[in-house]
Amino acid sequence: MRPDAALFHQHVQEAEFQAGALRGDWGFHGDPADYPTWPVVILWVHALAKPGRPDRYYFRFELSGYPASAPTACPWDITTNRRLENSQWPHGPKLVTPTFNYGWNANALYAPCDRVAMVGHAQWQTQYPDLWWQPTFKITVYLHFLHQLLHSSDYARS
Amino acid sequence: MNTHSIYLHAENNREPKSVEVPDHATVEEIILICQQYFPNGTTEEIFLFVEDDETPRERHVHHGEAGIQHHHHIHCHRCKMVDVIVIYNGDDKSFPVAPSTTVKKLLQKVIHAFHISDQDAGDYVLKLDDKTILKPSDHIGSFTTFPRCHVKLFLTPIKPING
Repeated sequence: MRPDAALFHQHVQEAEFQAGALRGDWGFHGDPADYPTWPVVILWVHALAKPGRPDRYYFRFELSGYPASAPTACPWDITTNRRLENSQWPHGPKLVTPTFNYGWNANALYAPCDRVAMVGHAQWQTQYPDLWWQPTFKITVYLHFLHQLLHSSDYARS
Repeated sequence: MNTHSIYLHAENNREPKSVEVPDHATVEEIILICQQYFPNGTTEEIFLFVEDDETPRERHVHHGEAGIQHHHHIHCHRCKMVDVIVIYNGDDKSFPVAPSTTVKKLLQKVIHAFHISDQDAGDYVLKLDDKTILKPSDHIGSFTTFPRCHVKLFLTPIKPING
């Protein structure tokens, strides 16, 4: 197993990821054994119940160089194995849409823990110190962030 | 020997550990396991709580009798209660809670106490002085250590990502 995959594997065996999976907050799509598609891994995150919306969203995580390099993630349609149609992306005017912003980039999330979005946003390091990816971070930082957005009142109301 | 797994949380430690405990283990034995992972004071000083429950468990009883089951989260702490001071809009309120209280449960009390509507509740978080955002699954006892049995938190709206 590659070193980045081995570290990812170690992190998802730890209590924080496992307890979140048991609570139903997040999980793997399919059997992650040996990560055959590495550095790509599909994870899902639970969302609040909302008419016409799924109770979980899938994300295609690209994890090259994890955790020295930040992950990047894109909402994913597991039935077509393609990026989720724009109209299906989660939305909420105040908190959710600024991150799920396909107008900015249709293949990444506008977040301080996303490798693609970090470029050119050095100011986020002080604005969002909890989210600005560091090599000591684990995948749960990204998952908690998504879970928070998908359980916000902003998401529920929109 | 049959075992089952539980999640250990402890004072001043933000990363829970998953551990195996023998089927026959008493509360006292689980406290000893806790001490191996999170050495804090002496074993005699430590109280054991089940997540979101305020009653310290009797030390001599079997863990099953104490309500500790497979995949349960427990908390070992020398503080019996933690006084959480929450500051919001220049006002502050006190919430005495057990160390095993989750941020999710505390946040519900806080939102209610500060008269924030249920509709808006999901857009707020609790932060430490150093701006660390507490996660819903965190235990309050993880942010303090005996004899300092209090924590100061700030209730703030979630900041959208912009700029």
